[in-house]
Amino acid sequence: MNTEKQLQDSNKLLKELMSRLNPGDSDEDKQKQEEIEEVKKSIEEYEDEIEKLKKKIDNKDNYKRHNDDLGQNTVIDEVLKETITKEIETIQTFIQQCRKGQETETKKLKEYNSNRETLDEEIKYIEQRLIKDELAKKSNIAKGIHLQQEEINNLRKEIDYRNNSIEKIDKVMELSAEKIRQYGQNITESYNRLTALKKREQNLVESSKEELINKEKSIDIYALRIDKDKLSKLEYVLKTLKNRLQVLMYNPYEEIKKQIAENEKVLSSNNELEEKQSNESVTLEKVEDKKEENSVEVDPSGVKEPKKEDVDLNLFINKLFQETEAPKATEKVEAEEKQVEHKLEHPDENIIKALRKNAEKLELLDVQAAPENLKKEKLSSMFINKWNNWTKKVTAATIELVYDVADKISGKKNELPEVEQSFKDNLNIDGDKEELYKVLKNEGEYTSVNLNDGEQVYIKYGDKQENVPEGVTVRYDGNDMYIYYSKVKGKNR
Amino acid sequence: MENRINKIMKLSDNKNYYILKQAIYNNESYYTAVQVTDDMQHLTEEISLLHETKENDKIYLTQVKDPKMIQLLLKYMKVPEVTE
Repeated sequence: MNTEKQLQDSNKLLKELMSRLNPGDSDEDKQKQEEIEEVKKSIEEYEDEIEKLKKKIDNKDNYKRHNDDLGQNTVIDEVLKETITKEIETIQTFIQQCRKGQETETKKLKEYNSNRETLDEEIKYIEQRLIKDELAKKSNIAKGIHLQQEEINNLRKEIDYRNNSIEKIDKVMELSAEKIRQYGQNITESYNRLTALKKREQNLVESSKEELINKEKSIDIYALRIDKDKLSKLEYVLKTLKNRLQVLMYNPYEEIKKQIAENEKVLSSNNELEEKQSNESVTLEKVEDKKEENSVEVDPSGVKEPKKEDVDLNLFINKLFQETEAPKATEKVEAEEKQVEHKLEHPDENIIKALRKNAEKLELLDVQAAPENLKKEKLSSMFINKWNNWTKKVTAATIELVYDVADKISGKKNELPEVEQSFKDNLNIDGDKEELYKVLKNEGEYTSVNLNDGEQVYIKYGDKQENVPEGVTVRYDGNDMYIYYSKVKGKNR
Repeated sequence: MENRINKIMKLSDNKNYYILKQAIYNNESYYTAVQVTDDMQHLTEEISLLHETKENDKIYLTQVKDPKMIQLLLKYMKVPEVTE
């Protein structure tokens, strides 16, 4: 701003000086010039007149000389001569004045020229200053432009930086959105898993309750039956023993002696005693009848004459129990459990239809490694539940296709077919780094395994999957128990 | 006999199958496979049992239809326990 103002001031000053320098530009200069021109003209006029007069004088001198030559000298010439001389003096005075004026004007002109030189110098100085100012201004402008350019560049850099930041933020936002989506998915999966677990828990609780009730019922019924069997056997044993006792205690001679003695006593008494005696004889007959009855009951069963050990009630009872041993309660429960296990879902008609269709042969075009997310999804509870459901449905459908209705109701053939030995030998179930640890073949066998977390556990023949720790899988093939592990360390001890 | 577990097989029906389990029986491979989405990012619900055969240097896969064979395969290619 200061530079512009200075420039404006300089222009004004320059204009002023130019106006002064140019004579036609101001009235005063014009006037002076006119005066100079007039003086010059006057001087020229006077000089012309002086020349004329000189010529005239010369002519008169020539005339005088001629006259003198002629010998004529008159007074008229003298007067004229004086007049002319005066006039010449006047003219000379005027010329001197004019010369003085000319000198004055010359001086003025010199001064003017001097002033003009000064002004020229000033103009030059001002021009130089103007040029300098202009250069400085241009330089400043250039600097300003440069600064502005730098500022623009800086702004562009900042814009680029901010754009990059925005891009980064966008990416972060995308990632965040992806994470949020993942979290949402995880939450959904967790929720589904939780729901499935709750459902499973509920089902388990219900099935456990039902199973418990069934078991209690079966155990109660079984116990009642055993008790009844025991009771009947005991009654039978008691009855037998009583009979044996009676047989053993029976002595006919002493009885007869007693009876005779009593009869003798009674014979001497009144009719009432006779009646009494007749009653006693009935009793005897009954006893004799009983003896016959006992022999009929005991002998046909092949029971030999009582031995000493037969009299021992405990031994006898034990023997009887050994002969009529009831089925074990556990076996019965296991049979019931098997029936429960074989209660299959209603088979999916679509799966059955699909299985009945002819298989399509598809050519393998390409094999590639699966992305990691699929591996994770494979192990997610949601997918495992789907897989599990599919397995159940397919199993139900195959049973529907293989077995008839009667078999399904009885559960007779619901057990899966025996695995061929070659299949067992060739089978590779190393899908999840699961390895066969040990095979238990008989009741009572057990093995210990060391888990990765340092825990040592014992697994015995007959243990079910829900009773073994995580990382260990048990499967049954007929009678053999296969123990697989994925988290076990060390070897069997 | 290649291990194809955790691999994706593209078949001539233009579908991609992710191998969950593999079993070898009489020197032939059987698979529990699940179809994956076209972008190969997710598993679908289409699970199947496939039997691999080789004819004229070409590999073919057929869905297992024999119920007894299915039962045997399902018995041994068991669904893993939920570990999450």
